[in-house]
This record gives sequence, C-alpha cells and structure tokens, in this order.
Amino acid sequence: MLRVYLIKKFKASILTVLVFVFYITPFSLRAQCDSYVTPYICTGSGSTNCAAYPTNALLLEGASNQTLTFDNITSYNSGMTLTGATVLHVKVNTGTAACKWSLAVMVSNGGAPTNPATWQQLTAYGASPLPLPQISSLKFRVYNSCNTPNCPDTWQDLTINGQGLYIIKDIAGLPISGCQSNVDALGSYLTDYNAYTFTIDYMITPGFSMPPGSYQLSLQFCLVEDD
Amino acid sequence: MKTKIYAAAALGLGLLMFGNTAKAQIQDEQNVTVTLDMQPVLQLFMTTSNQVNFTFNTIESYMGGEIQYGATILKVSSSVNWDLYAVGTSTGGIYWDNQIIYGALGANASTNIPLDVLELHQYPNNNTNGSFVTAGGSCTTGDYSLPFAPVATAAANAGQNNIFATSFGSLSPYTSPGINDKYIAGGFGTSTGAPGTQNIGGSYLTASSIVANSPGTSNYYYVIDYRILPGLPVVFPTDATDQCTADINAIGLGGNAGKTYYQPGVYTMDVKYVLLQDQ
Repeated sequence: MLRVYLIKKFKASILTVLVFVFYITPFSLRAQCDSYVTPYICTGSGSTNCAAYPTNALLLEGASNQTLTFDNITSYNSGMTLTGATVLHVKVNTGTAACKWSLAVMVSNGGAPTNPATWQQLTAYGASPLPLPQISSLKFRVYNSCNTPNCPDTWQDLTINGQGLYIIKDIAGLPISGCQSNVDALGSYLTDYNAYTFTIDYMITPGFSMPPGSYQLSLQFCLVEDD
Repeated sequence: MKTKIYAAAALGLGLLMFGNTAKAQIQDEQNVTVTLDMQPVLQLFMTTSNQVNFTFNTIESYMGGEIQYGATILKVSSSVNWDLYAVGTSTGGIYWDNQIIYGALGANASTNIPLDVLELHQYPNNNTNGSFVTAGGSCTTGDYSLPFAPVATAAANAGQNNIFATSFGSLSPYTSPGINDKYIAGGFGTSTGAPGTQNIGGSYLTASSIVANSPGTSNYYYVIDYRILPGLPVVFPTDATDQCTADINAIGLGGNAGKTYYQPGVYTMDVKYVLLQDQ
C-alpha cells in the first residue's frame, strides 16, 4: 500500500515538474542567441573586397532619438514597446564577389563616472535609494522578412558599456546570399529589401525597482567589412 | 621635359589615389539615442461613500458607540517610496464643524467636539513605521492596527485608535505626523535602514499578500473601520490625542472649560488620507 502510494507520489512529482518546466521555459531562456562581443570596436577587418563608404553604406530610417516616457502606473507595470522605431537599410552592392560584411550593435552609456552596467543618469527625480537602471533593462529585437538576422525576432539585451552583439555575424567562408540567416553577400535594400533591411523594436518594463529619473543610452549600429 | 614632369606627377597622383581607394574598406555606423524618462507617480485609490454617517438615536448607540466596518478601502500605487497617513480636519481645524444644534444650548453644554474623538482601525497593520516612539499610554504601535477597545476599558485605552488631527499645534493637514504620531503606512523621516520608515514603490495590483490565506492584503491595500463612542453623558470617554496623551480641549479643558457635556446636534469633519513621497 505504501509502495503504491510512493509510486503515485512519484508520478505526481514528475507531472508537476513537467508542468513547471512547460510554463517557465519560455521566460527563463537567455535572450541572446549568441555570445556578447566585449568590447566591440566598430572597425573593419582589413579586407578590401567591398567598396568603401559612401558607395556602400548603412542608412538609418526613423528618429535618432527614441524616448520612453513612464508617467502612469499602468505603463510602469506593463512596460512600453516602441515597435519599428528604427529601420536600418544596408547598401553593399559594390565590390568583388568575395565582399562580405557584418552588422553589429554596441551600447554606450557615456563611460565614467557612470557605472559600466547602468544607464547614464541625466536627472534624478527625488533621492531614491534604489539602484540605477541596468543597461540590460533595455530590450531590443531585430527582424526582417527574410529572417536574416543572427538572432531574428528575439528580445535581446546588452549588459555592459561597450558591449556588442552581432545582428549579421562575422562568418568564415564564402559570403551568404539569398534569403537565409546571416546573409552578408553583395546586395542592397534597393534591390533586395527583405534581406537588407532591419527593423528594430525597443522595450522596457521598469516595474518599481528603478528610481524615477531621466536616463540615456546610445546604441551604435556598425556596418563593417569582413575577411 | 616639362610635359614629362607633369605626366609623371599626374601618374603619381593617380596611383596615390588609386592606392587609397584600393585599401579603403566599408565601414559605416548609425547611432540611436534612447532616453528613459521615468516620472514619479503616486496614486491613491479610495473606495468609500462620500459621507460616512453616524446617527445616535438610541441609548445603546450612545453608550456602546457605533462602528462602520470597512467603510473605506485604500489602495496605493507608487513608483517612489511613500508614506500614508490620515488626518482629521475641519473648518476651524480644532473641533468638528457644528452644523445645527438640537434644542437650546445648555448652560454646561459645548459644541466644541475635538476632532480626535474619531477612532480608526486599519487592516493590515503598518509594518514600516520603524521611527515610531511611543509617547506613553496605550499607544504601543505607530498605527491604527489595535482593535477598538471595549467600552468598559475604552477610557483606559484612550488614544490607541484616535485619529491624528490638527487640533494640537494648529498644524496644516499636510504637515506630516511626527515620531509619536500614527501612520497608516510608513513613518516619520526618510531613513531607509531597518526596519524602515517608508514603503518602497509598488502597487496593490502586483504586490503579493502579506497575510497568509488573505489574498489582497499587502502593504499597498488597507481597510479602514471607523468608530465614535459618545458615552452617556456625551463626553467621548476615548477623547485623547493619537499619541495617547490628554486632549487639551477635552470636555472641561481648554476650549471646553467649564463644560460638562456636548450638545446634541449635527456635526461634520473631514478625514484626509495623504499619500506622500518619502525619499
């Protein structure tokens, strides 16, 4: 009787764990699909298979200043998303067949005296004892119709000043073309919009763990040539 | 000869330019500045009737008093650290406003009923008034969490539930209570050390329960009961300050010197619930 009881309990335990995992997994996965690049320096590889700027260029569509304002409890609780706030157009259509490129994003908080892991504080509203907002509180996701980003349509974040993440990764071998992950061959948003255009959303959910104030971060999007 | 020199110079310049172009590489960047503007938000939601009426029309009601259970529910959402207190006010700031008296004013009767005869009871208790210092008497907690004392012992426990009022010192209702006064949540000062004198930012919408098996109870959600105990004769035996000290305007004292009871009539006062930033 006891044995049956234990077996039943054991089954129940397994069931509980499975249910728990089912619900928790989507939220506990690390956002990044790839490793951070620290520090990320926006310089090319030294190859000269692609024509230089401004023949090939990265173009920004949308405001270069994005503001997320939290002025009611609902916004603090639910967070705020700026959908399609930034659109990047890549134009790399001049060069040899070996021309490859990569696209990365780097975060900057202005450096010292700001803590490397926090936003740069512009103004404090009051004297809160709460710690300054972490850089990682800013989530962003990059996507396009071709799913070419290295980590497409996934909320990611950066954690330290100067840290970077690849949107289009530096991949060894021949350049990739077509409509697939990490396309980095010759091409342009003018002739292949879906693969050479990147839309970026931003999201912050402050909750009540950050001190009220005005803060700033800069995201630097870099287009560089690969080997 | 001069032509050859020009040609050589042009060739050299061309080679130099070509060489530069050949060594150049694609490199371009765009910057987006993200500004995060988190503004202070304090919201106090109050569920109550516009007027809480106490009608004393039987001997039992005079002697036993009347209690309005759960007459007010307070719900807090704040993005900053905060305190919450109640303060009794009136036109004069010391006594209830007398709207009308019933019958002729007796020679020993007074219409100056002190504001602090109103008693409050809160649930749950204030667990962040770390700066509270008792001024004596039965004021052992810096809040209104003690149950209303039974009538038989009400006078001995006068003050333990009495509302903080402006009657002593003629303070503005927006002058926050001191270290001996009652707060519904938080306390005097801005110290963040344990046990703390303020509640941290949060919301009743998301705060977890602090009382087992009582969903909805949190540091951001309070239920307020009211009691008035006139006594017979009407002297309000629980009349005292919220610090459990004697009310200088109690019957026979101060503005009520020479009086022995309060005149029947209609009296009104306001209770302000003040949510303030504390950081």
